[in-house]
Amino acid sequence: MATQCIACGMPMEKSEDFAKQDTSKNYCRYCARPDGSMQNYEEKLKSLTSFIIRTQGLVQQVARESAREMMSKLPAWSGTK
Amino acid sequence: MNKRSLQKEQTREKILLAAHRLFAANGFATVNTHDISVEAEVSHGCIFVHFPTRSDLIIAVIMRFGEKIAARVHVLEEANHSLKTVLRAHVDIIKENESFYTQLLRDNTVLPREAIVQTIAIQSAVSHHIGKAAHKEIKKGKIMAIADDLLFNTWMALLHYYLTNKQLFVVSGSVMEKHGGKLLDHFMKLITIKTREA
Repeated sequence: MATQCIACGMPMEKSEDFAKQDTSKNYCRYCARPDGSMQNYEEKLKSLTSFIIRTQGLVQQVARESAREMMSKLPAWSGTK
Repeated sequence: MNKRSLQKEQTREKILLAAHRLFAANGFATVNTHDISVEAEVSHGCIFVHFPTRSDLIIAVIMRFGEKIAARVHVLEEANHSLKTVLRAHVDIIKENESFYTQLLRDNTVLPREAIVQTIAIQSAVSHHIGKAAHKEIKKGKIMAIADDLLFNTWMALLHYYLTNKQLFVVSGSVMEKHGGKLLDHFMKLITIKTREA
């Protein structure tokens, strides 16, 4: 079952880690919308930026740029910059 | 995995371990790919088969370390261990990789941009797990309600001060080995809500 979320890179080990606890999905619960579908690029960029600010207090501009670069390495967003 | 893929994987691992050792001993700025090939006992060209550029190799070494550190803290937090246990695990993993971690702090400004972003990702993951363990104790009224970023940054400031000024705190050996326990106790004391004795 262990795999990595295609949208944020989080390791998914237990069914609770998967979107809607559906282990056939390749993205995690943090990258899902309330209806279970995967967030789009802008939504994910916004949530990842907020996550960096919440956890480390980085200034918005640096957090957003870092989030953008992290996302560019992930399968769901490869090719985006 | 067939024999060829297995060998390729083993060589990649050998290079990563050799690079980790050299970065830990000499820092990220001075170690070159030739040094790493000698340490890994592979040809210089072999390095580039696995890592097209020196930056790619640096990023892979940091990523590997980051996954290890975040996974260790994650497991304890998921198992509902106390904040103190999660922080102790954090100290322990830094202690086990103290030279590497300290070089990472010292050389932060000379690292490739992608590696800096990687360290931001690692620290956010660690902070997230520490924050989750803290929230459970905040809810129980055991520790003060402190925002995730300030809790994490205060903790890191304490550890990083001792790591980057190691020569002031130990003559030789690990600064975390000598002072990690004391720093942990001190930090917990600072954030713990004192209950009035009867």
